[in-house]
Amino acid sequence: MSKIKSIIAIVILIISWCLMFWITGNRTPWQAFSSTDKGDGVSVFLGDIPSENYDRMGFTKGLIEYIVSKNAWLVGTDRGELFLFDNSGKQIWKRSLGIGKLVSLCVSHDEKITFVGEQSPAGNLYAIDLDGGDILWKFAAEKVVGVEPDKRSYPSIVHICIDKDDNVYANAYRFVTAKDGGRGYNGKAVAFNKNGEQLWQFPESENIDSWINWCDVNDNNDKVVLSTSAYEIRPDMKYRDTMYLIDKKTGQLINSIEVPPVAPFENTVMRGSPNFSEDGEFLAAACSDGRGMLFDAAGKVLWQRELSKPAQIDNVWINASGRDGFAAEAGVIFTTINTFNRENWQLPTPVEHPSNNSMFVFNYDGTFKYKYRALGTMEQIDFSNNMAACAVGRNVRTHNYAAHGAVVLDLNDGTELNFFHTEGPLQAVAISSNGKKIAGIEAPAVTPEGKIIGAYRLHIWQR
Amino acid sequence: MSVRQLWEGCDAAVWARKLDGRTKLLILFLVAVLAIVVDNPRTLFLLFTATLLLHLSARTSIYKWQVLAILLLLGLWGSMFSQALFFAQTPRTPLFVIIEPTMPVLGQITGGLYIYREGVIYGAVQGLRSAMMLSLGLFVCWTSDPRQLLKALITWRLSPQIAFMLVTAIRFLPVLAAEAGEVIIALRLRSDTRVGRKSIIRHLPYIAKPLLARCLRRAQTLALSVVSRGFFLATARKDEFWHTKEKFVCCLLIIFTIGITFSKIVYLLSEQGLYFGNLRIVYDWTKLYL
Repeated sequence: MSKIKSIIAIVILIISWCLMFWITGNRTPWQAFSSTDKGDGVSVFLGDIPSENYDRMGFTKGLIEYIVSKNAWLVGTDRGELFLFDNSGKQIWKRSLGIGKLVSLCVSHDEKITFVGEQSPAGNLYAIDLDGGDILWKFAAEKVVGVEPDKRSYPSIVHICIDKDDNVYANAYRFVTAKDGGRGYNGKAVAFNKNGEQLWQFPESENIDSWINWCDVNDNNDKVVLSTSAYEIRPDMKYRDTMYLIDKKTGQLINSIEVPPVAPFENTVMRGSPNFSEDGEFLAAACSDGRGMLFDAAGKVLWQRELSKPAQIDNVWINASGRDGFAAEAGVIFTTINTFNRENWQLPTPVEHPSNNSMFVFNYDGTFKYKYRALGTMEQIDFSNNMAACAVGRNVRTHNYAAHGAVVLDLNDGTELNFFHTEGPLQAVAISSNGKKIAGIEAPAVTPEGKIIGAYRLHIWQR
Repeated sequence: MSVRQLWEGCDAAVWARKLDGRTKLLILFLVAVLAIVVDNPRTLFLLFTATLLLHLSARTSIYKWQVLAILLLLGLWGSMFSQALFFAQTPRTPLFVIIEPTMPVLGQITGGLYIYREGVIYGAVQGLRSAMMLSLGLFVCWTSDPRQLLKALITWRLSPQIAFMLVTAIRFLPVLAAEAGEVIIALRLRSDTRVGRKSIIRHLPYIAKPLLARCLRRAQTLALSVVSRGFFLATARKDEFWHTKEKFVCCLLIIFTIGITFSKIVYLLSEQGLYFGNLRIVYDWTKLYL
């Protein structure tokens, strides 16, 4: 009898050991259950991350790209991990890149290499083999824009784009706040060939003293465009213009464009644009002051539209910042995000701006086609077959949590084709080349009531 | 197997019994350092598994495994369950609701009682730390003659009095267990209660006094015996022979532990702003595995 008791105790210990193996692994029991098929799609847990306040401006990110040749989804996370998942949510491979947060992602045309940018004390740009996740080469942004760990000022590769030869153009950037509250900007555009040999850097011998969030390249006009987005323009700043057009072969400045600001703003800021049209003839950009603009390849303004005109209500200037600008086949597309108080984005606004969280589509001659308004910020848009998949994230004004999810729109008329709801805000989205599958990354958030909604997970939906 | 035998290192595999006391104590110390330094749940789990493998290779008897299993299970599940219930850090995600916050009286008093997902992990990490030490501690206890440990401590120039007291504490563990058993039997016979778990629980509150009395008597005898033998008057002993292979393994373990501690410290410093680019690989490694 006592032997049986001993065996029972040992069996329970063995079971506990197995459970510990499970619990201490990446796929803990609750995560395994959450990755099961839920009818219209699957969800896969991407690991624990700190849940951030719902109302904060900088929020949890996620990166996602559809890989046609592998019929798989490439996912980059704030935990510094890169995954390749198949359509059923099964992990093909995972590569941990260490202490950084992955902030930018681009895939070569032959889909053999992915270029990943991180924010970390080194701020590496990685070239990673898409077959197995091996690092082919890397470049540390720290070398060009520096690092000040004591001030928690870390470099990052904020945006990456590639040309037809898979040459890589990346924005290295570092922001620092001084003790007196002054802001310091350090930006540099760097170009590499696909083997990691540096082609050029702009500017050659100094840093751009402004925020450079975005860049795009075009093979038909051989230009790279950079946009600036500094909070303010100071007299001592050298790079005060809004856009810089650079020769993509030499890295020499072709010209720079200053877009005059509109009241009550003191400078024109572009955060998620401009982007060239496929043929390189047009350049579409949305400004934070709420304007949508179309330029020619030389940077001359062809037309501009007021997407969300700043308005003064109860002595408060409010507006919905413009962010994305695309010159696509369906037309010129712009988006706006949440309503913000001009004085300080954290302050409340008396009303929502009627044009916030919207997508505006225009013909190339500037005539208005339609507008689609989402209930939360369109965090990212991906296109396929005249459709747009939008990641709908937070609405910091209404706290409408039902808005979170992925929306699929018909780009011809803005009709909503599908909506897939997520509990937490959806921060990134991608659509498969045939438009049948959509994948998105949901982030957890702490609501003002102190409740945590959502989790850091990948969703794959079938349309 | 008697209660006394259960706590003595008499039936372990030869290799484990032959290990030098210094080797055992050093490994115990280094693993204790690792248990503090390592935070990664999977790495802690692997360390814990390694200590269980030591028991397997030392051919720990089934009765000892039973004791080990019960102690480990109590520690592990106790820690996981308590942390899952009372996890106070953020983020925390409720898995189950035990008491709804809206429930009358209890809900209002407690503000709701939940099983938190992050608490389970946190509890598992803490539980694994203590389980690892418990398992290794019992391994040392079950494979060592107290004299071995005494010699080891004295060779390390530890004061003979302190060394003696430490070893006596270990030596008295089986004696204490056996005496507790005897006291319970005596109490049971006097009260004419039946054999069983209930009777043990009933008599537990009354064992302290007789046990303490016996301990004092034994301590007095021991003190007299130590003084009469002139134990503490002995001149410093010559260094005992320490097998080269064991020394080598210990050196490797020391280097390994120092390396891990160094990695962890530089990683923590990097988070506080003292970052060195050349150590990036160390930071990455630490984040992934430690």
